[in-house]
Amino acid sequence: MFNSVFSAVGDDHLLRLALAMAAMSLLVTVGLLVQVLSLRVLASRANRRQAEVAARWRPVLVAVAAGETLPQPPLPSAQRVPLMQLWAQLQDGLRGPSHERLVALAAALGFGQRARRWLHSVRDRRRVLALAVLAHLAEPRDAAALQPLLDDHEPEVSLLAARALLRVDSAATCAQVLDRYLQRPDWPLAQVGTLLMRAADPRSAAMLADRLDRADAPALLRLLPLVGVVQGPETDAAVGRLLQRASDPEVLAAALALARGPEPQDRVRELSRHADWRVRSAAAQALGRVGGQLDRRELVSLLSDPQWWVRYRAAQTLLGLPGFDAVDQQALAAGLHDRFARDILAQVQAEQRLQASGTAP
Amino acid sequence: MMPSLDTVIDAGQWLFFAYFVGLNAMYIGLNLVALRVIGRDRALQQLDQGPVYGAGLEPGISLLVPAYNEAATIVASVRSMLQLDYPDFEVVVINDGSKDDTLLALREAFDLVPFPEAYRVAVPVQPVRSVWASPQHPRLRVLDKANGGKADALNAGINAARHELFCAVDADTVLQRDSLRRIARPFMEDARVIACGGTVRVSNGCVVEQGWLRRVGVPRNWLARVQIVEYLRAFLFGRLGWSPLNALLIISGAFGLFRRSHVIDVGGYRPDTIGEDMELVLRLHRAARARRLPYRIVFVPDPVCWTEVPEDLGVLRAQRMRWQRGLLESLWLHRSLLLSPRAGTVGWLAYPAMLVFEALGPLIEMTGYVFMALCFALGLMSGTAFATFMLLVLGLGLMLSANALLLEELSFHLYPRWSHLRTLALSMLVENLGYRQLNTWWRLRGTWTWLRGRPAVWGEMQRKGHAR
Repeated sequence: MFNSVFSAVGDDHLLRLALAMAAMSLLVTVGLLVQVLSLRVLASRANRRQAEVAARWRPVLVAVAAGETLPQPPLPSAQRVPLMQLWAQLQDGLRGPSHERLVALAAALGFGQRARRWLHSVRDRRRVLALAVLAHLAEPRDAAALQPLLDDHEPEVSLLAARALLRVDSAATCAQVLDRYLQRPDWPLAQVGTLLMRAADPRSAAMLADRLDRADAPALLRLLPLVGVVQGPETDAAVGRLLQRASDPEVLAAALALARGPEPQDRVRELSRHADWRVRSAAAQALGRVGGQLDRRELVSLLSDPQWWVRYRAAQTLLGLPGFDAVDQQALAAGLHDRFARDILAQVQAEQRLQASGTAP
Repeated sequence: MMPSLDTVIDAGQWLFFAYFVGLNAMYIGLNLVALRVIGRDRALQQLDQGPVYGAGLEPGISLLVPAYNEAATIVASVRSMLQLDYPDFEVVVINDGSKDDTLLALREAFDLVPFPEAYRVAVPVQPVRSVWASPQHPRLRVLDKANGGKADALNAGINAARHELFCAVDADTVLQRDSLRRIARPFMEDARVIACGGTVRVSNGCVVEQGWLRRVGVPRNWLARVQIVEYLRAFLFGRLGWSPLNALLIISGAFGLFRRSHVIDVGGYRPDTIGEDMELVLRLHRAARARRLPYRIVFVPDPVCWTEVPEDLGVLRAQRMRWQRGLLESLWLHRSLLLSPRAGTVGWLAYPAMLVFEALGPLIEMTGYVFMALCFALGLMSGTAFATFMLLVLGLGLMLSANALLLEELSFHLYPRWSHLRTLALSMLVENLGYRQLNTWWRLRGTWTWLRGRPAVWGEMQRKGHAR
């Protein structure tokens, strides 16, 4: 048939090429549609299997987690993957004895061996599931196998390996996670922060403080937000030292946002007169945490700052100072001659009234 | 005489052929990139096993909602926005001098009270007459300003925004509860990201209640059905393909997230343009590349919002003519990006592709169709040759549409029923057999009105989805 169609276009090269491409694109279209159909069939089969597994096994898993026993249904090999997924999802929300009971069940069902085999699978889906399972099993013998995956070029895989290793040996892994976070721009702050927060290792604050003391400005900008997650006396002291030595305005602003306690008081006051408005704004906020009544005058002068954000933060801090009551506010408003200062004060007062009367978060 | 006419016809055929092959080669290339990106994300998405967020490190977001004569729908839209699943956000509605009761509807629904905002002007805008806030919803503020157009309203919102990230949202856009989480993710994953767009889906045929999408469906109207396939093509590979190359030129005005300081640095939205969304993205590219800043403008394939598309030919025509004008206007304003040594993938790949295949595309395509039809009618081209070229155009178009369906099936699988699939497959055929040619004609008319400097027509759209 093709020959007769091609012979109809004669010897014209362009026409023959066009016809060949048209035929090819139509064939590819049919191929793509067949692929869509087969994906849908596979997806509906997988959904059916998952629903079946969930219906049979969820009651068993819930009972095991609660310390009860139920007879285990048969487990055909086709249902192992959906069951492992279900198990890992349930484990995400469990802690303590319930978690341990499900770990014991997983050992009995051979999830560990299977996960270890899949750790180096070429199929991402299997690797990801293996990492999720091993993270919950948290067996020290898996550390050696997980370690190389910490440097996997796929950030998702390396972060899942970090999660698993943190559960196996949090002290050793915290340091590695912090170092790799600095080396790998593809490791997101929010995810690393969540990992460290969940690991909740008391030594992580000291490790972070150590790196804060040694880091340069770009590294500091990545590390400082983590202080909010693993805060401790060591990080507070490191932030204080950083405020003394740093000169980069972005670093100063980020460090000011974390300043706590009375130690950095003088430095914060000094920075409230910094040339960069971002630093002044952060200092105005920080004065609310590290300052006191003595800083009222400083904050009042910041109400007339040329930058809106500095005025706004200063007004928020002023109105949040302990003992700064309605009478003080009236007196302050009456004494302000600068229109911008009066306007921002009125705005923040209204905001606070709204917050106080609000029902939403 | 005859040999020279033959030469002209031959040359015309080759040019038309080369254009179509080039156009489709570009789309196939974008498809391959999109397939890779979607394939990479699939394992994690299906298993939902990625390390989750929860450390409170999510950046705050200001949702900016320009509203002009939206009294019928604005309350439901704002109610749904206030319920978005995101830890730190505010909603700033900008009533852009509406002639209807938009402000009154908001005041009554949310018990708004006058708010003494110390309004700052980082970007010049039409006068802001008053600011309102809600004691029940401290996250909500409403600005009432003199009419200045969508871009001016967005600029007013940027001035009032409290957070470093702002999200421009059309008042009639239907969001998903996790829309902000999905679109904010690239900002959390890469500090260089300054703007992010997401996939806009068609809400016609879906069940929308109180501003929320309850069930995905396919509309009865064929024009809307065809636009589902068209949107899949445009977003799932048209935009996703450019994103890894940092050469995305458009972020939909219906829903886009931007770093406020960067937008203020470039002067905010331009109120004198029709395609203010594309113009801003081009300006951000231009400014960042001129200053050699490390930056990224990215796209997430996730369906972040749903919009109602026209079901009426007149409104659709006006929309497409307007889009074409916006495209031409933006490309013209930033013509210095074209093949500029500093413009990288934007100036050397995306801009030329957009210019040749999107801006000049309608002219070339329509010339090709007319040329072929004339040659055939005058007996200068055989019926076989004419049919072969038309078959090629149809074949390549169908292939790309089928690939968009595949990408959808691989990634989000939002049309679960077999009947949906059948309808979309048939829509592919309609899209390539008539709709595309009609669209080309409208875009050509849009090009003509832009060249003549005539004002754009907006068209009155009768919305249906939100009524439920």
